[in-house]
This record gives sequence, structure tokens and C-alpha cells, in this order.
Amino acid sequence: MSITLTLFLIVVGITLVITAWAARRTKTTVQFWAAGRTIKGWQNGLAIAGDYMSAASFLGIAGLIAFNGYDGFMYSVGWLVAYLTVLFLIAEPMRNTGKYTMADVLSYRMSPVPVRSAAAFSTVAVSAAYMMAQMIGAGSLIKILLPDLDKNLKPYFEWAIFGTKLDPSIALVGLMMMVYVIAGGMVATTWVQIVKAVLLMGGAILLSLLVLFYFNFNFLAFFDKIYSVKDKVTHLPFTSPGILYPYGKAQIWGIDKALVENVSLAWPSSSARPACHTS
Amino acid sequence: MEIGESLPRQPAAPTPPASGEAPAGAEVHWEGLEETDEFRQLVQARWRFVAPATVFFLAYYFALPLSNGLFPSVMRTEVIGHINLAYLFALSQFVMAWLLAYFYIRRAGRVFDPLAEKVRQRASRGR
Repeated sequence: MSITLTLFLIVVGITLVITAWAARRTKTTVQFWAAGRTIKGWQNGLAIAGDYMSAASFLGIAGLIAFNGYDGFMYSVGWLVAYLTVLFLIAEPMRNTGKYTMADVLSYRMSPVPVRSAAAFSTVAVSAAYMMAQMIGAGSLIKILLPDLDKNLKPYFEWAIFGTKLDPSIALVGLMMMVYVIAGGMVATTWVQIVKAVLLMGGAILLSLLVLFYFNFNFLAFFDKIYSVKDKVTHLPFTSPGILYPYGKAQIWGIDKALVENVSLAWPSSSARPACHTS
Repeated sequence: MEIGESLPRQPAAPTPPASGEAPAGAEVHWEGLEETDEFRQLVQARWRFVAPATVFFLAYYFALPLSNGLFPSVMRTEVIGHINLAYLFALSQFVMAWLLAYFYIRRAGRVFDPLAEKVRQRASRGR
């Protein structure tokens, strides 16, 4: 058995044990939705951090920085500042209402049926878009790290739903997430997120130290190295803003001006990026 | 005081009017509580901090992409080695976020929690 498979099974084992332990403790609504209000501040902080440090930040942000340098880093700052919105405007008022979900809070003061329908619709719409990226990311990781697992699962996925074949890795990830949440409720979800946060932060600190060790803990040498990498399209050094989000005559923050004028939405993609920049 | 400390106290303190009925046993006067001076003071004290803080952090945050887009040559000015203004500004966002969170927690412990305690006393005392 390979090391990656062993590590994978250990992590899955730990999270399943947490879920089983939590499922036995969860009996009431408060316990399911709010973990019986027994989660301490630091535990909840780590869990929310774990929620943020998902496939999106570890694969997405790392990829954005690797391909676009500074602009990828600037993108990640938005996630941090968004915490303040949660702290100032959402967390305390929400807790003070004594409700469990956003829809509960809204329907307390307003007509419940339309508010709940709107809340349910937007939750499903947002989660679908968000979860798809997350699960494809996690599924791809399993495929890269454990190719044998994906190969061995394939024979069991020889059927299709509405003409679409299920991907074994992604289906496995989705199934495990459903087990965690449905069986364990908020206690398991919170503790799984705490374990994830600690593992990811530990890994990130270790990687940062290893990179700094490579540069003999010399920050300036580290930045010299980043500076020496140049973007292929804009020819800007990787420490410079404007690689992913060019701003100038034809583009505003990476979006074509023609598209903005036509009131359409366009996201910058590396393949569609014209060779235009401000400098 | 830590934010987390107020959480375990929740079961002991009267739960908010979640279902619109007073908890059994305890004499809690929720009706008209929002018109008392204590409650108004709490809400005002919170907004006096939260409103300017929100305006500040939004302005400070959006200044980053705006200045990178509008004044790229200024932001590319190198300060130490190849570390430029853009990097320093982005890193200062981390300091700003941690400082604001720290100020909020300190204010919550020193001002908001005592005021909330007064509201709680008023609620159990009645009007």
C-alpha cells in the first residue's frame, strides 16, 4: 500500500470516527444545527477558518499566484477582509436572534413562505456553483494522488444518470461529505473543519518554512527570484500588479471594455486574455 | 473578555424571544424592551463602532485593487529590494484586518457586554 493511500485512509478514518462520535451525541435540534451551543470561540474560529481554507484557497489561490504572481495574491486578500463583514455585520446579530439558519432569521420578521423559498433557492444556487468547483477540485486531487483508487472504483460506475456518467472520485468525495453532515450534524461538521484547518495550516507553515529555508531565510533573495519570473503575455515581473487584472485602454481589471459597454459579464481567462497592459 | 466566553453563558441567560413566548418559570419582560434606554444605549454603542469600522475597512480594501489598476506605475515602486508598494499595501491589509478585529473584541468586552448585561437585568426586572 502506498504512503498516499495510507495517509488518505488515516485522514478519512479520523473524520469518520469524529462523525460517529458526534452522531451518538446529537439528539435535539439545537445539537444538530448549533452543536448544542457548546462550541467555544477558538474552536468555532478554527472551524470557520477550515471552511475558508478549502479546495478553493489551497488549489485555487496557489494556482492563481503560481500563474499570475502578485495579482493572485491580491485576489486572496479579499477573502481575509471578508471576515470583517462576518464579524461586524452578521455573526453577532445572527447569534442574538437564537436562530439556526439565515432563512430562520429572515422569516422571523417577514412572511415566512416567500422568504424561505428565496433563501432556499439562493442557497442551492450558490452552493451548487461553489460545491461543484470544490468537489471537482477534491476529485482531481484523488485522481492525481491515488490513481489506483480511481481506477479500481471505475467498474462500479458503469452506469449513467440522464446520459451522464458519474466520476468515481468526485462521487466518493460527495458521498463522504453527505455522511459527515447528515450523520454528524454541526458537531461533526465543526470538528472535521477544525481537523482540516489544523492540517492545512500546519502544512502551509511547513511549506513556507521549507521555501524560506531554501532561500536561507533571506526575504530579499526570495523576492529577487520572484522578480526574475516574467509573465509571457505582459512581460511584467511576477511581483508586479497588472498580470491577471490589466487596466488600460481595452480592459478594465482584466475585463474587455467592449463587454462592459455591452453590459455583459466576462471573467478573465488566460486563454482569452489579449496581449494588452497598462505599462 | 474573549468572544467565546459569552457562549457557554447562553443556556443560563434567558434565551432571546425565539418563539415569541417567555421561558417557563422566569419572569422575563420582552415586550417593549426595545424602547428602554438600556437597549437603545446598547444598539447605539454597537453602531457607533460598527458603522465607521465597516466604512473604513471597505474603503481601505477597495483602495488596493483601485490603486493597482489606476496607478500601476506608482504601485510598482520598489521599496526594499524587489518588494514594491503593491506588496506592502496588500500585506498591510492583513495588519488592518487583525487590528480591527482586536479593537472590536476589546470594545465588545469593555462596552457592549456590560450594556447587554444591563438590558438583561432590565428584562428580568420589568418596566
